[in-house]
Amino acid sequence: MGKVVGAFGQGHILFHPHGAEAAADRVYEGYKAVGRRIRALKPDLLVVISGDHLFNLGTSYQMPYAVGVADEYLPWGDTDVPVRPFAGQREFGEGLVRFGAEQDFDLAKLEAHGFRPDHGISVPVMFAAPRGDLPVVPININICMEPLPNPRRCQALGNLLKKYVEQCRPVGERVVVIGAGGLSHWLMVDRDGEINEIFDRHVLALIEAGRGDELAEMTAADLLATAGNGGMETLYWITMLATVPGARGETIFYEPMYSWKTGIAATQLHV
Amino acid sequence: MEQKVKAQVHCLVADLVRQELLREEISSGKQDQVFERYGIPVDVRELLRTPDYRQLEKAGLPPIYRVLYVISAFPAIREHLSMAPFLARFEQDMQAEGVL
Repeated sequence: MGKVVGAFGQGHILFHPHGAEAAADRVYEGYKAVGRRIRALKPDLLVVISGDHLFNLGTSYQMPYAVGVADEYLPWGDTDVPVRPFAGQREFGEGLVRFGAEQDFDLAKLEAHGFRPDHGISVPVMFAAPRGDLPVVPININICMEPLPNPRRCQALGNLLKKYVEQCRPVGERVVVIGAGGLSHWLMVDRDGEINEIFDRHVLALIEAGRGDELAEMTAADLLATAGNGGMETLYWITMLATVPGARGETIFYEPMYSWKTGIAATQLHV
Repeated sequence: MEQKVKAQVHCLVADLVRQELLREEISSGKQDQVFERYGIPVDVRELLRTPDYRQLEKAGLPPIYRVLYVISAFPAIREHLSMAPFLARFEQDMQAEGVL
């Protein structure tokens, strides 16, 4: 059996620092720290749970949950992420989709010829695996559709991923899971630019206490009202947390980045 | 000037999201009235008339994402949504850590 040897929550944006240089620097250094911690765990494979910002997955075909099943990916290059290919692992992705079907959880597949990861996936990969040689399996949770994915269902997806690693993967395989997004932010809506620092710190405190699973008790509507339309990215963290139930987290950094219009953080779950 | 343009783009975007106004106005050929109403500068108007924007509109993307896509091509906005200032440092840091 394989094992989830580490899990991380982190943001997935890095924008221009002007006007908030010191805070932007802390975010950059925080991302670097996450990358170092991941490499120290010597993973065989990285699962990155995030969302596409309609660069690939538009409104024509909407699937709530999708898994990358390619052997290599080429970043979209938005936000000036370096367009360097990085490794995937088809076998892991295909196996997860098959296992999901057996467990009554239907997952869509993403092939590389139609899916070029945008910053949601490629920013965390850039810091964790700069050479692009660590196989990555992207999992896309669609927060650009209605109805919005449900936190409980995201938790179930995390449970499924954990079971898959433990029951179906080769003995000794070391898997690190990243939930990449958020925390709270409102974009292009009435509360545009707001950040709910109280919510963000509550999320981090719950995770530090090993109670991150309680986040899944929120409804999608609760999360939308409390964390904003962009804060639905917290679902990526909820999914990640379910792969390491009960683990306590360590906050690596938190910045309410008003110039980037988002609360942004990183945490490591100690397994 | 940069702040003024950002504020105007912001105004446009907020309006789009609330009312999806521009989609209606463009499809009915009345976009200039919208631009005038909100004082959208000429260079931004031109941007909203680009083939990219029309293509996105044709593809049925919601206005918020079409506008994000288009404004990301507008220099002042694109610069803000960019990690470019960190890239040289990133290369150096990763080389120093022996991972690049």
